[in-house]
Amino acid sequence: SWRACSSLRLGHSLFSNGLLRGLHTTQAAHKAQAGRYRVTRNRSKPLTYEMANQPCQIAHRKSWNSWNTTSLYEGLREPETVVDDIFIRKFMTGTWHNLFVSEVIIKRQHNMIRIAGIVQRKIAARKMYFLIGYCEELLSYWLKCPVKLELQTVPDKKDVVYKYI
Amino acid sequence: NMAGTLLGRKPVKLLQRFLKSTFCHDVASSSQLSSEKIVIPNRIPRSPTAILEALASTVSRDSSGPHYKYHDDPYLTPGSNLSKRVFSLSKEAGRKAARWIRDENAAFFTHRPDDPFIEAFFPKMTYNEESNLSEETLRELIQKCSVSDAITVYQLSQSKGIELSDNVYQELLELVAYYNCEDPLDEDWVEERWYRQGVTAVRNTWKDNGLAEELFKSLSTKGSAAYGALIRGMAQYYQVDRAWQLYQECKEKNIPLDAGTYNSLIRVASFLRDSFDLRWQLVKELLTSMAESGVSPNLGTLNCTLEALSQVATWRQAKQLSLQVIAEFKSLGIQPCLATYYFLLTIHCRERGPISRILIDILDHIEGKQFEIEDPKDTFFFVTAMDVSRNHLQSLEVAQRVDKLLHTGNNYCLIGDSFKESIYYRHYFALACSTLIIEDFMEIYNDLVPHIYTPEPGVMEEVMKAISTHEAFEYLPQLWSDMIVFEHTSRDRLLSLVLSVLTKYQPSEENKQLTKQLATIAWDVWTRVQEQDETRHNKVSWNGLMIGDLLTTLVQCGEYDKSLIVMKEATTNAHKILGYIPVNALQILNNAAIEKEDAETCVSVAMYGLDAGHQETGEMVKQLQSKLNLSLEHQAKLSSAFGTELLNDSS
Repeated sequence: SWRACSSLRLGHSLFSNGLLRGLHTTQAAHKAQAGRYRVTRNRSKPLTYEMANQPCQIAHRKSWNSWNTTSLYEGLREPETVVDDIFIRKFMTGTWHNLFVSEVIIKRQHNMIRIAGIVQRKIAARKMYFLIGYCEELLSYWLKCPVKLELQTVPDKKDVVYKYI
Repeated sequence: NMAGTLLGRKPVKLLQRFLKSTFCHDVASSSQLSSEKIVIPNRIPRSPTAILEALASTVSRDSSGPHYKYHDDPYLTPGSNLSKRVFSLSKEAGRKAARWIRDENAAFFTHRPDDPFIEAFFPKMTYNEESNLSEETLRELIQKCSVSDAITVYQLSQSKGIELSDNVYQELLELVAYYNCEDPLDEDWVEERWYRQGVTAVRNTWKDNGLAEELFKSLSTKGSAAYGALIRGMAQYYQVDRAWQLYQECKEKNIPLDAGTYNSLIRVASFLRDSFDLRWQLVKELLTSMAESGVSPNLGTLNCTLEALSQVATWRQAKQLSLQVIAEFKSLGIQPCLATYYFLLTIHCRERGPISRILIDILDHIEGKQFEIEDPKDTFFFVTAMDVSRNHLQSLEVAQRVDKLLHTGNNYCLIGDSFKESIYYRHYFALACSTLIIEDFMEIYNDLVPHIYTPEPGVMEEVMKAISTHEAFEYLPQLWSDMIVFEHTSRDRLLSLVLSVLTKYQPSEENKQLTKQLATIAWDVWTRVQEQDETRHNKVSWNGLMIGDLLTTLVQCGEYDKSLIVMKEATTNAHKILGYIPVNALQILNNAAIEKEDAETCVSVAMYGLDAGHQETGEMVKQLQSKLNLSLEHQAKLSSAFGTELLNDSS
C-alpha cells in the first residue's frame, strides 16, 4: 500500500541545489521493470513474442530459455550449469555476428547439450555450415560433452516481430 | 558361461515344482508337463549399443528428405551435387578450425570435469624435449596409429638415449612401413574421407632410405616379422624391385615368411615381369613356394591372385584361370568375398569381348546375404556390378537384383565413397531411363531424385531425350524446375535440348495449363540466358537453332508478344548469335504474324531471311503480299531488298 513506503527528505536547502538524499524508513518498493519494454511515441519498437510477454507470463505464455535438471531434487552442478549457459550464450551470439534474432535456447538431455535459436539468412549457406561445425566442435571441447545445434533460419528479422510498441 | 548355467539350473527346478503343485489335480497334464524338458538358452552377450542397433535396423533411408547430416532447414538443404559437397565439407572445415584452435591454445582446455575422462575432447599431446618419455608412450602412440607422433617420440628417445626393447622396434617398424612414414587422414574427418577420390596413382611412392629402412637396419636380429613388415610396406607403395630383392634375401637365408607377405608380392607380380605368361608364372612360383614353406593361403591370397589376373585380363587364359583359382580355393575352404567377385567381373566382363553372364551366377550365390568389409577392394563390387548390368548385360532386372542386395541389412556401408555412390546411381538411372516406359522411369526418378542421387548434366540429357521420344511433355515442368535446383541451367547443350524438345509439343484444348507451363519454361530459358552475368567465363551463348526452337515454341504456345521480343533481339544483336535461325522457325513466325496482321514483323522476318540466305524467303514474301495490305513504306523496303519483279510476280 502507499503507506508501506515512506521516505523523509533531509535538508530542504540541499534539495534546492538539485541534490536529494532520501532515507527510506520502510522497504524500498520500486516498480517492477525487469524484462519490460517502454512504449514509444510512434509505436516503432519491434518486439518478438518473447520480448512482448513479461516475466510474469513465464509458465503461462512463455517458457524458459534454459532447460536442465539442476533445480530438481538431487540435481547436480547448478551454479556450474548457470555459468556454462552464460558462456554458451555469449559464444553463440558472438560467433554468429548479428545473426541471432531470438534468444539462445539451451536444453540439456542425457549427456548432450542442444542449442536452438533463430538465425537470419544474411550469410551464404556454406558459411553457416562452417559456423555450425565450428560451434558444435568447439563447445563440445569446452564443455566436455556432445553439443548439437538446432538452428532455424528466417529470411528477414521482421519475420520474428510479434508487435510494435 | 558361468552365470547363465548357474542361474539356468535353479529356475528350471523351481518351475517344475510350481507346475507340479498347481496342476497336481490334473494328472494327465502334470505328467505331460513334468516329462517336458524346459531348456533355457544361454545368455547372448550384447554390446552396449545392441538395443540402438536393433532399433536402427527398423528404419531405412528416407528418400523424401535430405541426408540427416545436413541441417534441418530449407535454406540449409542442398539442391545440386555441388552444394551437397560444399555443405558437408564446409561443416567439416569448421570442425577442423575448432580442433586447430583447441590444439593451438591447449593451455585453456586442460580442465577435466568429465568423469570418466574423455580423451577425444582433450587437446592433443605434443612431444618435445621436456616431455616425459618412455617405452610406454611410444607403445600407446603406435596403438593409436599416430605415425608422426610416434616418429617424433622415437627420435627424441634416441637423442635422450632411452633404451627401447626389440618388440617396440618391431611394432614401430610395422607401423612406419604400413603408413610409409606419413600420417593417414584422421578418422574423425568423415566427410573428407567420403568425398576423397581414392584413385591413387600407381607409382613408386616408397620413401627410400627412410625411417622404415633405418629401423630395419638397427634391429639386432632381422627375423621373419621384420622382413615381412618391410616387404609388405615396399610392395604396398610399389617399390617392387627392393621388395623382390628382400624376398630373394629371405629365400637365401631360409627365413620363413607369412601369408600376408606372399600376398603382397603376388599382388605386384605384374610390375616384376613384362609378358602375361611370365607374370602368371611368377604368381605360380610364389604360390608354390608358399605351399612348400607350409604357409596356408587365406582370403587375401585368393584376392591378390585374382588381382594379378585382372592386370593381365586381356590374356586369353585369364578367364579360365580365374575360375580354376576360385574352385581350388573353395576346396581349401576359403569362401570368396565381395572383392573376389569384383575381380571376377573385371576379368570376365570386358568391353571388347564376349558377353559373360557371370554376374548372374554371382548374384544367385550371394543374394540376400549380409556382408562385412573383408578386403579394401570390397567397396568396388557394387559400382562394378551396376556398370556391368548397364553396359555389358544391359539388363534392368540384373540391376534391380544388385540394388536389392545393396539395400539388404548393412550392405549399404560397402558402397565406398561419394564418387562410387554417384557412379552407381548414374548407371542405374541411365539404364532405367533407356529400358523403362516413361511413367515407370519417373517413379524411380521421384524416388531417388534429389536427395539420394542428383543427376549429372549428361544423365539429364538422356532423360530429356527419353521424354522427347515418348512425347511425355507433362513431366517437363518438373524436370525444368529440377534443372534449376541442380544448377544445370548454364549448360548450353542441355538448354538447346530442352528447347528442341519443347518444339515437338502441339498444344490442344485440353491441356491449356500445360501449354502455359511450357511457354513459361521457354521464356524462363530466354530470361536466364539474357540475364547472365557478362563476366562469366563459360557463358551460354545463343545459336540460331536455339533461337529458332524458342520462337517456334513461343508461337505455338500462343505467346506471340514474347516471340516478338526475341525476334527483335535476334535482329538487333545478330552478331551475338552463332549461325542463323532456321527457315521453318521463320515460317512459323511469319504465319503467326500474318494471322495477327502484323506487317511490321513480317517485313523484319523477311529481311532476316534474306540476310540468312534462306531460299524460301521469296515464298514468304509472296504469301505476305497476298494475304496482307502492305503500306507504302513496307512496299518500298521489300522492293529495295528483293527486287521489283518478285513483288510484281505475285499480283
